Amino acid sequence: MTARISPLGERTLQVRSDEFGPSDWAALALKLRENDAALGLPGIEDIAPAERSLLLIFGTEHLPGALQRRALRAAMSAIADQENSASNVHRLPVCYAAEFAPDLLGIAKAAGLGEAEVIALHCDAKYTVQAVGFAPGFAYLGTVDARIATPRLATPRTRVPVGAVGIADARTAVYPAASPGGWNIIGRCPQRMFDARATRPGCLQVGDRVQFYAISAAEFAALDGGQ
Amino acid sequence: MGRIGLQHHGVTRGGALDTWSLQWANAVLGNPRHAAALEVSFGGLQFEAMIETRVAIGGTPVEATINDEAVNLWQPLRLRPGDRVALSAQAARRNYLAVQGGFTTAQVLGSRAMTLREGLGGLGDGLQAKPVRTGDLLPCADSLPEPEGQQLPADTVASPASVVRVVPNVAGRNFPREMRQAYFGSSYTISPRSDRMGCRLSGAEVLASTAPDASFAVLPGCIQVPPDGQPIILLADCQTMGGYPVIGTVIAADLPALGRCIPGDVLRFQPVTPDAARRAWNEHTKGLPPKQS
Repeated sequence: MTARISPLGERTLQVRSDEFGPSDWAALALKLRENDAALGLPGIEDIAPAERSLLLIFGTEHLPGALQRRALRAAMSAIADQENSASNVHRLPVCYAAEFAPDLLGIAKAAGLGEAEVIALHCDAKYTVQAVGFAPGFAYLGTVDARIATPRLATPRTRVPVGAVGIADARTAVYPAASPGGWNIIGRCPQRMFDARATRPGCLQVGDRVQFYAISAAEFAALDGGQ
Repeated sequence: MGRIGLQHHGVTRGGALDTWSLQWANAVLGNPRHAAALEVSFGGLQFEAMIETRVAIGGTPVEATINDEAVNLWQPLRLRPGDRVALSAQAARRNYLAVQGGFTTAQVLGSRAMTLREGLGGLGDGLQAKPVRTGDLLPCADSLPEPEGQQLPADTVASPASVVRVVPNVAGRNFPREMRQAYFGSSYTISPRSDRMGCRLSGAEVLASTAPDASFAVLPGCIQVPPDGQPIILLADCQTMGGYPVIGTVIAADLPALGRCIPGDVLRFQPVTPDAARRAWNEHTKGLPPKQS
């Protein structure tokens, strides 16, 4: 396999490969997290997968060199040789009621579809977590059906509520906390994406699969009240 | 020193901008060198001791007093209930107030670092971070042993950076040679729009010829160049992912001195190899006690 490994500063190795997708990066991250010393890569502080790359941040006592690059290549070859399917599949409830969906009608009109069709397209797709960033627990899910892929708002909202489900271009996401935001909001998810008190604080990881299903306002109230 | 190991959850590291001063302010008290301390930007802090304890003040030169009597930086200072400590706002940049045993605010995700943007750390349960305000009580432990601290010469000066060493991002290939030359051959002024997320520079325009094909993980020190050509050096509270091209990364040894800079300061950048960066780190950490002490 071909991989390009380069430093992004002396503390890191950034690795890229056109042959790897999110589930491969996730499998590599998992392998490194479980086993860094045995793989010849001790002292890793952070393993941050993205859509087309993975960043390893080493503690300053273990700055990486040629040995670590070789070890990383070996670990990647092992990952490339195996079938990497998503280990975690999440089904997330979304209430698409108008009070939670200020941009749903706009997307429907632009696409020449009914609101119910937009909801069906959003729920039919099986998404993969491409990256987690922007805010704790903010997972970028792809790929949104081209018919409802919509550019960000020209002027971002100053406050998007926790649980808001948005679309930006071909990505969709659940806001893990209230924040400013420019995504088109089409619903709200009662399940929390990030809990700083949990040992595993983020619900979604790069490579995970996600599918949404529609719930009524009454079901939303019951689930949201259960938080 | 921030939340380590959570970047894949989108959690920023946070922590002190000037980690050297934080660690030495702790070390002179015999504290674990990563104990929680208060970062004070631009001085103007006054506080009153409620218990008997010791504190140490580190960071850039500042006029500090206890009950109006001048005291030195980098020294253990005994406080009794009612004693008033003040850091002047005159010429103050970045300072650290360490207390015996460290501040005992809630630990969230393995750290007491306060990241306002994420609402993590700070007073209370550590889930509603707010800037420290007049009247707040900062929790710290009473009647602790007072171990022998490390000593730092009284004339030690933590200076702000003027030349910053950078490992160029050779793999990114986003910048043509003349743009790299422009960046490393010019001076940049720190903009007032800088904050704990990023040190924004103004100066010679650096234009990328290509953009990265997808966002990638970034870390403090990465120098992003948005389309306006004015570089941004990511700092302790930076985002975890970025889509702008990165021209290089400030070496770890130079981040603390960069953290002492303020708007209006002028910086130049010098390209170095990762090996030179490693040697610089060893030099930088000389004399500090081991991490877990």
